[in-house]
Formats: sequence, structure tokens, C-alpha cells
Amino acid sequence: MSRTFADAKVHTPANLEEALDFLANHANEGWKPLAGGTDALVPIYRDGAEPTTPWLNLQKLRPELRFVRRTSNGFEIGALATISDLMANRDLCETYPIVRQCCQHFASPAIRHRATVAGNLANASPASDIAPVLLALEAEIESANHAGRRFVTLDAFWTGYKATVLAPDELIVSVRIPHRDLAANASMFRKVAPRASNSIALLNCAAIGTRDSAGTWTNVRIALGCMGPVPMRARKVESAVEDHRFDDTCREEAKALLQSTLRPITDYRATAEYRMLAATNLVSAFLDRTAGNWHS
Amino acid sequence: MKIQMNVNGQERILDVPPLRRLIDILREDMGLVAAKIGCGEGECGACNVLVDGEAVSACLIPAVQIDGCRIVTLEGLATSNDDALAALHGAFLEHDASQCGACIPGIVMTCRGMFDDLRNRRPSEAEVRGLLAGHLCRCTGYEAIVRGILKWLEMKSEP
Repeated sequence: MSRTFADAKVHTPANLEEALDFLANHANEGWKPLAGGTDALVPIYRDGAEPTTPWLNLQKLRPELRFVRRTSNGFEIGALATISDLMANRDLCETYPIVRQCCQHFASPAIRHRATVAGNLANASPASDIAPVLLALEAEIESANHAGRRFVTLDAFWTGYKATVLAPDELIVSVRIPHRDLAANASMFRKVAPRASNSIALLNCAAIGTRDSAGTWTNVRIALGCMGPVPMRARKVESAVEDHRFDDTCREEAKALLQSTLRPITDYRATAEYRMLAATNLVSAFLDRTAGNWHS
Repeated sequence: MKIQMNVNGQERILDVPPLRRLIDILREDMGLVAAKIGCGEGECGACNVLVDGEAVSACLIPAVQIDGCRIVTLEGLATSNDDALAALHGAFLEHDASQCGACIPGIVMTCRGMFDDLRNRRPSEAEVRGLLAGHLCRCTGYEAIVRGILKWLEMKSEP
């Protein structure tokens, strides 16, 4: 007979309002939202310890929060939209091909059917695959508590390894992608991992920008995962290449800037040296592109 | 906690702990043993079943999240005269796709879950390999499995 963890505490609110009221009344009890749950059971069953975390099961909020839609300002991804839901939205995937590229390398089809975009961001792992894409697209998090809603840009959302700005009484409601990159003619998502899918990234990189016929880059945004405690933008490199061609001087400058700003660690997946070399190569591979209209 | 679900067409009400895994409910509480426990971490796909029509790994889903859901396991397909299953069965036999068989129930459920998406088009071999990304075959018989699935899709695209 397998373990059952009979004493585990789970509460299932009927809708968003009820969930927020519950959190307001139990803010100091450590309730943790359970969305797709794909990263919730494994540590419990693997470690075998009686789970102490009380779970707030969001399953019944699906009718309210499982959607992906275009608005006048951009795309809105409901907090319970799954990775599969992103892939199924042709409008989003054709507007931003890096979304589909990333999702195709995100875990496995079975996990993509459960795992939510917001859960992946709230989990605050530096190895999140969707995080660099949403960072490069300058996404914002819409969160709510019983008193109201607020917006925070994604790059201000993580405060450290596995930590976010979310208060104990707060839930993500949606993730917003602003219409900022409709003119971009180049984008890239790359994940370095032992297998093409169902692997945790050694590092990953998402980039988007516009390159004119003379090779001059504008509106470049580059984001990297596993290169520090949180997924991060390479802002200094972005500034250095803005209105420039990616020539040898620019390449050396970008390399130096990456080396002075990224903070990869050595762990059982890869060494810091390997990560730095691969990240530098990925950023160069994107900026080296010689033709426009290239999304891959 | 009490959960209500439809398993292979039958309404069931069970009293289970909230974090009990769906795979344990199916295998131990209901005796439905087609889905296997391989890795228990979502890596191998041996436990895949359909929840509300989508193939998911039953080792990752707690009881509390299947309340009100419709579950289909391989046993359910096998007893429902499912044409898509019969065709896949034939294609797998023709290509010797099943060796020890541990991974096959999960792979069948993944294929069945994608059937409506796949039936109207002919996916590439690369796409079929992508579909299998969450499955580990301990006999390493992937080539025969891929050939079997491609054959199945060829059969399904015929009028």
C-alpha cells in the first residue's frame, strides 16, 4: 500500500472571491496555491515526510481563470491557463513564435496539459522555461488580494531564489503580454539540456528584436535562465547593441558585459564556466543573424 | 475527503486522503492496473491516463484535483469498442512496437488523447517523436513504436 499522507491539509475554494477571502483570514498560516500541481507531489512522495504545507487547491477557479485571449493592449493569460493552452492559441503563437518554440521544449505533453503558466512563474525557479520568453516580451503579472488588484513587471516579480513579491494573501490572476513587439523580425528560444524535452534546462535563452537590412539592431531584448538566482534580462547587452550592427567590437563588448553581469553557479547539472560559455554563444547566435524575418 | 468522478464511464464516489495520487487510487483502490508506476516523478509516462480527455501523468495528480473529473484508463478504452484503439493496436502488432509492455499503456493513452488533434492532419515523424517526449521505453524500442504510430496515423487519414 502506498503512502497516503492522510493528515495533509487542503482547502478548495469555490471561486476566486472565496479564495481571496480565505487567504485574507488565514494569511499567516502558510497556505500555498495548488494550480497544475506538477511540482507539488513529487517532493512529498520522494522524501516521504508528512507534508506540513497546507494547500489551497485552485481547481474550481478554472472557469474564471483558465483562458488565453487577445485584448486591445496585448495578450492576457489567465492564471490557470496551461502550457498546452498557450500552444493551442494560434494567434499568440503566430504573433510571438518564441512562445510555441518554448512550449514545445517544456517538459512533456502530459505535463504541459496540467502545468500552468502562472504556477511556473510563481514557483520562481531560475530554470523555468517560460520565464525568459515572458521576460523578453516584457510581461506583467496581475495579482489580487481581497482588497484589490495590482500589476508588477515580471523582472521585478522575483526577489531571489524561489522567492517572489507575492504577499501571503495574494494570488496571480493573469499574466499580460503587452503589444510591444509586433514589428520584431527576429526572435529565438534556445534551451540547453540533455534531452530536447522533459529535461530541466542547464540554461535557456529567449531573445527578440528588429534588425534592418543594414544589420542594425533595435528594440532588442534578451533574457536568460539558470544564469543567476532568478531568470534575468541582459539589459547591458541590450543597450550595447541598440542601434548597432553586431560587429567584432560589439561582440567583444557583449561578451564582456555578460561575463560581468551574469552569476551562474556550478551544480550537478553543469559548471558555471560551461553555462557562461553557452550563454555567450547563444546571445551571439541570435545577434549574428544576417537575414530578417527569422524566428526560430 | 469524498470525491466524485467518472471512471471509464461509471460514476464513482470514493473517500480518500486529499493528496493521494490518482495512480494509487486507480491501481490500489480500484484495481485498474493498466497504468504503471514507473518513476513517480512525471519523467516516464507509464502512468498516463486521460483526465477530461487529456493525457496526463497520474503520479502527479492529487485526489483533490480529480473531484468531478472524467477519467479514462486503458481498461476503459479496451471495453468500449474504441475504433482508434483497435487501429493503434493493429499498427503496434504489425510493427512489433510492444516488447515488455511496461510503457505501452501510457503511450497508448497519450496517442488516444491526441487523436482528435492528429486525425485531420498527417504529423511529421519529428512531431510524433515530440509526442513521445514524456515516455521512456525501458526496452529502448522507440523506432518500432514511432513506426507503429506513423502507420496508425496513415490508417486514420484514409477515408
